[in-house]
Amino acid sequence: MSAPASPSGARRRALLFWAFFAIGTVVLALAPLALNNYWLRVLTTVFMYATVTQGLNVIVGLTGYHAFGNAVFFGFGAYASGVAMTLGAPFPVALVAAVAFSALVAGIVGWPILRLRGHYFAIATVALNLAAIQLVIQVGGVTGGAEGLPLPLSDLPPGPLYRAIYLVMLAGMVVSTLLVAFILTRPFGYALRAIRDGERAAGVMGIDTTATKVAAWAISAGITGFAGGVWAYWITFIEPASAFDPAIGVKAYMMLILGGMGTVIGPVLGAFVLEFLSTLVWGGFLQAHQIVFGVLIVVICLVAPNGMLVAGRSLIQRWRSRHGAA
Amino acid sequence: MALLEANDLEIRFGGVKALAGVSFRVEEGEVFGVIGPNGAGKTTLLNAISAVYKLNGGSIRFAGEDVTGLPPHRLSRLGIARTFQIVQPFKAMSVRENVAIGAMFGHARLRTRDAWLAAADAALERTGLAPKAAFMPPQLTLADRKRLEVARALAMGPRIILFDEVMAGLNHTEIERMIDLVKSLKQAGLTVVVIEHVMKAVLALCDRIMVLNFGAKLAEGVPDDVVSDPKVVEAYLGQRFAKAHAAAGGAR
Ligand SMILES: Nc1ncnc2c1ncn2[C@@H]1O[C@H](COP(=O)(O)OP(=O)(O)OP(=O)(O)O)[C@@H](O)[C@H]1O
Ligand SMILES: [Mg+2]
Repeated sequence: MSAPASPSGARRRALLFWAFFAIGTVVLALAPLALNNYWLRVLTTVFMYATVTQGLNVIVGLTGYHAFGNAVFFGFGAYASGVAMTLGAPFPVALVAAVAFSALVAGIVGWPILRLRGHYFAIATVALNLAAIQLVIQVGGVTGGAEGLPLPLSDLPPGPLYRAIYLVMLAGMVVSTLLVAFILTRPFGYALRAIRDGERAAGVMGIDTTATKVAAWAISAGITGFAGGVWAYWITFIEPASAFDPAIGVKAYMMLILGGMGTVIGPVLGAFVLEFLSTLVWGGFLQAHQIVFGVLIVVICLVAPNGMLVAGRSLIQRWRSRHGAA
Repeated sequence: MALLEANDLEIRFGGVKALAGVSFRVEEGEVFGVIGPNGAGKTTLLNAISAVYKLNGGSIRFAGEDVTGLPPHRLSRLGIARTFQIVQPFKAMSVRENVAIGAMFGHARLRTRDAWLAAADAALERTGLAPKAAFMPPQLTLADRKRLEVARALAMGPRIILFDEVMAGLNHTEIERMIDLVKSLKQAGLTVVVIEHVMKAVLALCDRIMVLNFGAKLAEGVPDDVVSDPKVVEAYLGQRFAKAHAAAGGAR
């Protein structure tokens, strides 16, 4: 059994981690000066998925509630920002609308369905995703319905515009990661982890489990909605099938599993590794990339079911003990 | 005035009545024992009081107030703490963090991080878990896991604490230590309900005992009367216990 880590060692590791995080953020923020359009797009996509995965992390990783349909808030965020801009709102206001609307939906829908434990909630989120597609089509009008919704074009020329979107997506990834780190130090974060590890005990120890879960889901939805809101502006045309594409949620789930559920940096690592891999696979196996990707998922689940951080650590430990240098 | 008062509690699972109209009162400062055969409804009774299960009938008063239907977290902040027969530690948190959760959310008054940690450390000290504060729950022995349940409840600063078989699976020495702990709680003015199969502990601790059988109250009273009640001997204790107890001239 491993001895409990000494507090000073833990503090040193945390300092090192945040130093890396700060350097990485600065490097990525300056990178557009050197990147071509292709890599700008790849990285913007990575940041987008890292943000969606961080949103998923809040409800799945921290709270232990599987939300298979969580990417529904990506769609709600995209549509909230799309509709707001169509109505004349500037982009920053549209982003606020995307976050607020997504969080609001989670708050309202979460109140009844988060009382359900375990699988029922997971299924209900999938149903919500399917319902959302129908809803947008039925509402029509300002959402564009089944025809889709073209967003107003930006005044910026493409170069600066794409760099701006890159930076906003990067901000989404960085801020959502900082938010998760902050939550974990607060009583709210302890409440989430307590619910994840034993909801019944959490309740009798004084945690208002329903309110806490709803708050967690609203935060999760807000983060996811932000990514959707930026995405809508980026691609300038959204339709129900692309905004509420279940594949977004599946990919985020894989990134979360790969990176490590409930960790601060796992979603970011998972997004980088999987999105780069998927870009490579996409290029190399244009025909078979779904299959290759599927096999990849299975391999991840078998080799690193607790994420690559845990897998890496236990690999190092095994290597050390074999070489006697404990 | 009774601190806890249960009237006609009823809990059904499908067609089965796990609790079929149970009433009792626990006076402030006493140790109240609940015994009975496996499946009698003891744990269900605890779940009913702590609102883990919804009542199908009946009402509960605590400290003079009607608390029927309040959610678990509200009850805990009013001062009702409990342990779980099947221990339920937060396995991804250290022992100290586990206990601090009780102070953080279940304590009616503590507001600062320092106060939560101080309450946690006091509870760890009291239960003898202090040397293992930095352990993770999977590293604990069964006896220590039971202590962790107790420490978490204590950190909530409760007025009443409900123990569900905290002695089950412990060895002789560990049982003695747990008995001493419960005695010290009573001395400190806490009201305690103990569900227990370990009769030695029940007799050493309880001011009064209630016997449950098939979800109903079979007997209630001071220990000596209850354990010599023929109904109780037949339903639960058995002849051997009764003879041994009589031969010893009662427990005290
Ligand atoms: N969640 C549940 N669903 C269905 N039946 C239940 C549930 N909980 C308890 N029961 C049933 O209610 C009855 C009482 O169970 P309970 O756990 O309260 O007994 P107990 O007196 O605590 O027994 P033990 O001494 O073995 O702990 C049993 O028949 C049990 O099977
Ligand atoms: Mg029981």
